[in-house]
Amino acid sequence: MKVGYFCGYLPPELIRSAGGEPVLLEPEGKRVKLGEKYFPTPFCPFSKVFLDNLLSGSWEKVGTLLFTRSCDASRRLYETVSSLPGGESSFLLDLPHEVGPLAWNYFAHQLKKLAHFLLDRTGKSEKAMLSDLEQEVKSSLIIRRKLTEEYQAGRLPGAVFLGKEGGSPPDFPRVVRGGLPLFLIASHLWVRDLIGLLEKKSILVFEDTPLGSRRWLLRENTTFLLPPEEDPFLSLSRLYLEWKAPCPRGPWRERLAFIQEMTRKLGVRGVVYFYPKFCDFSLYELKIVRDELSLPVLSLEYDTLPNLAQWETRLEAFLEVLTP
Amino acid sequence: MITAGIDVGSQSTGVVIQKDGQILSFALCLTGIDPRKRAKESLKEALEKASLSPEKLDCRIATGYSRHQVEADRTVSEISAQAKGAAFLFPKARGLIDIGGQDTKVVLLSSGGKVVDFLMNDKCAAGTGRFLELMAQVLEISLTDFGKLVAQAQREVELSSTCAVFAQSELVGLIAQGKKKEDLSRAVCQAVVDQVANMVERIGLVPPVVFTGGVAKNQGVASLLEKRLGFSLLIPPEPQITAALGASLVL
Amino acid sequence: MKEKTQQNLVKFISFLSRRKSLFTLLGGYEWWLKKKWPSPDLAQTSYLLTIHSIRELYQRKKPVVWTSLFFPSEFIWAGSMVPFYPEIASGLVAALRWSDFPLRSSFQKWVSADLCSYHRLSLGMSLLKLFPRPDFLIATNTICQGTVGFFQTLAQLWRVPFYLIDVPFADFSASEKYISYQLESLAQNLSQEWGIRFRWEQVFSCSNQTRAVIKDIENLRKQKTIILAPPTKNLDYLPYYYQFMGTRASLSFFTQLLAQLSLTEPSSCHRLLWLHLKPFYPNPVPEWLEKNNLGVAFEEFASLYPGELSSREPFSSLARKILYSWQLTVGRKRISHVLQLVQEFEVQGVVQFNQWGCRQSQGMNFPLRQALRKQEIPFLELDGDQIDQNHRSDEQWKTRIQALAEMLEGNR
Ligand SMILES: Nc1ncnc2c1ncn2[C@@H]1O[C@H](COP(=O)(O)OP(=O)(O)O)[C@@H](O)[C@H]1O
Ligand code: SF4
Ligand code: SF4
Ligand code: SF4
Repeated sequence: MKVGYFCGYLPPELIRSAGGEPVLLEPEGKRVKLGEKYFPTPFCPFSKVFLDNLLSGSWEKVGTLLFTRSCDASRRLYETVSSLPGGESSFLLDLPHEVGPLAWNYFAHQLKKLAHFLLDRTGKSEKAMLSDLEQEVKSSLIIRRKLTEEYQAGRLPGAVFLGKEGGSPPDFPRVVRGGLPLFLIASHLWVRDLIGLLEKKSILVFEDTPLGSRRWLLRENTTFLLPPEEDPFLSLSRLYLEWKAPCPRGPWRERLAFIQEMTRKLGVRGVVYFYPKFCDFSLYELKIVRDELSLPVLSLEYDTLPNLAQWETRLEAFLEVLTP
Repeated sequence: MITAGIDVGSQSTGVVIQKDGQILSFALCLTGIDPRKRAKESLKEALEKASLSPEKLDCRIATGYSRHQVEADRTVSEISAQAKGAAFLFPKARGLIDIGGQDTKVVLLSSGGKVVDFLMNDKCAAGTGRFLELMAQVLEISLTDFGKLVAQAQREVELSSTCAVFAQSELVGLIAQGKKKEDLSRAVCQAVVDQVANMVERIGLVPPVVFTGGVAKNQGVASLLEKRLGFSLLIPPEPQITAALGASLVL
Repeated sequence: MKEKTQQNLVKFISFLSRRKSLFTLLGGYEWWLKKKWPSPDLAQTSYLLTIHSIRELYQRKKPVVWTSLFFPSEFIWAGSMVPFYPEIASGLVAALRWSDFPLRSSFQKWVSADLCSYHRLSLGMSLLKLFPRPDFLIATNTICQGTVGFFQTLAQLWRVPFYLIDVPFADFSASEKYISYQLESLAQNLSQEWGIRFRWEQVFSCSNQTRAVIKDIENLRKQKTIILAPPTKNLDYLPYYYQFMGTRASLSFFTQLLAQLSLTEPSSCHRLLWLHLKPFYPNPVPEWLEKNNLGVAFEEFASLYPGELSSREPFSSLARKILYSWQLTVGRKRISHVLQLVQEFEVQGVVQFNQWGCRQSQGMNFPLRQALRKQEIPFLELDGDQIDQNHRSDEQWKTRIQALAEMLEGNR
């Protein structure tokens, strides 16, 4: 059973151990024609493009769709999808905003609910799922630690993390060419196009995106070896809420600390902030990044279509400032 | 009973004189900067065409953007007026798309021609006649050229901005890249069509649908809109006087 | 006013606003006003309360807590703190025709114009240091997740702690527990770090009494001939529904409103249900509604948690109050709530003022329109911005309102 998802807080470990095949959904940017009627003009372009892809049959083989309560748009997207024909097979994972034991327990409970939702559909037994899950979490941690090290050492630039398959980690290490190192903070749309553009300008891109590294990397201060919890759901919950690289939705202190740490370790010369118009979290984060980071920031905005020509012009101007 | 419908739009002013369901005459001109004066002149013109003296009029009903500024016995909103006019010309119509200079309206009609629901463009949307005018200036073409140019377009070009200001600069950029006028004209019309089609889909119009307003004269938009919606549109012979006609019929 | 003069004036006012002792003087004025109006009417009550709040907020004898609309003020009053609702205060600033300057200030500091203008304006007022300095921030993300970004940015600007009460969207009992735990640990935290002690009884009983009066008002408004005029006026009373709940101020305000409402002349206008809020800067929408014989029978934001707050279980009852806001923000729940209000208040049309930067409310318009269409209730959207005048489009509003009236006239 193919299980589609896009939010980095949806654990492929859980999908796999419940007998599903995780598919990371990466909508292609086409002219939004089927999706737009559901949402007003000032609304998250990702949601529109996502619906467009869904309705035009890009993911026909993906029967089950998972969403999270990450922002207002993603909630509405879930509500819209679940009201369409076939909507019963979509699920909203309630993702807490808070950190700390209360939130971990709450999220563990929600993950359990998701597991049951999936088991009902795959027919796998709960017992088998539990033992698989423990294994999944263990090996996931090992891979993540390794990836984090490699990334911080500057050996995983470019689009290596971006993969269509939900579960598989990128290959590493790679032979890395030189170039001007920049940190790219982006959302779900047109990440590949932009990385391509940056690389064309011989930039060494270190991406921080929900399709790529942010799904894999761990925070700096997570010094642990094995899941410390008895309950694999609690381990999984902590892995995602406490250890995984945070998203712009916060918690912002941790998020800012993460960005500061990464940009310092990677020794980047500037930040490219590539964000969707009408995405509240990005809009707020952009302000905080500008205020708190002592690096030059280039902000590039988009709506429902890529605008490579315009981005290129702005990028060139930015590069001229960086390398006089 | 003899009535006059006066539609004072942002771009054009139309007057229709009507007697018991018969159109006696009409007048159409640009609104300009003095809507009050222009409305008066148009009414005079229409009355002359119908060989009527002003006293013969039982009622003057104003509609359109500046309806509150002109001399009239009562006013009616453009939505109701357009709906009335469209239903009069095409009794079977179940929907209406009106693209004027300033606003775009999409109206769902009942089988009796009553307004069931309507939407108007939000402020940032590009789907209005004014947008086409601005883009025509950038392309250095006249509004009437759109139809011909769109028909000759070959390559797919898309505007990524729906905001008029950004679209303008994007267009300048595309011209600089050497993109063809024909293809760009189609991209401009397509941008309008996509905005309007979203509204049509949001409200759920089903054919037969009437298309009115000055932009209904733009064959580029009309043909692309039909293509996008998948059905053909009913366009009155003079699409800019439907509101005036409707207003003359509200009593 | 010239930009330069404006800036100097702002500097001067913000300098004054930081002189706490200055606001002690207001105490005398307040005393004098109370003498002058021994039994104040609604407008006088509001004026007195404004003066009193300004004194409390700027004099800072008690901790000042900034919070969001759906965080219950009872919690704050019970801890002898003073709540400040930046979203409500933004409405006030706009009503005073002074929104442009703070909006511009926030834009200059990289606050995008596509964000919610309640938040943008509050950030501007914070950058200018004109809003009262908070001691800490408490917010819920129940109505919109954007609130989190907003409060995080406030925390960054003012360099004060921010406590988020995270409101989930799962099953009711799990959600109730999760919120009530959070409230409890917040209360513990506040008493340890700020020495705050909570006394629930008085505040809760006052809130419950007020709730009963509001219920009576609601019942009265369900009568077909009762209309609170001018249209949308009730939204100006928002502070009493939210900020002052749990205080005598709200109780006496609503008692007066009830008395006044029972004396109103019967009205025969078309009855509307008003969703979301309204533009707070001076604007002709109410006038046009009235001209077109349209009245607002009820407002979505006036529907309050119908249950009691109990000092025996303060945290769970507050959690239930917070969760009531699901009626405004969870898609299906909101739609069925709206349909229920349509029936109870016998309205003929529903109006929503679309706030440009508000994703959560507008993101639901499609299914809402469909649901209302099934009941043959027209749904009118007015697009614009409730705080930022730059997005206003009076002519369109006029046309849309007139068209709605004509539709209702035709349906009569
Ligand atoms: N002959 C024409 N060919 C193509 N487009 C036209 C023509 N005449 C008018 N238009 C378009 O119609 C718009 C004006 O529409 P109109 O219905 O007159 O506006 P309003 O109702 O606001 O007065 C113009 O902005 C222009 O784009
Ligand atoms: S940005 Fe982060 S939290 Fe938001 S949907 Fe993407 S992965 Fe999830
Ligand atoms: S986080 Fe931003 S881009 Fe992602 S779904 Fe939410 S609004 Fe859209
Ligand atoms: S208007 Fe919308 S976005 Fe703004 S605070 Fe209210 S719910 Fe949030």
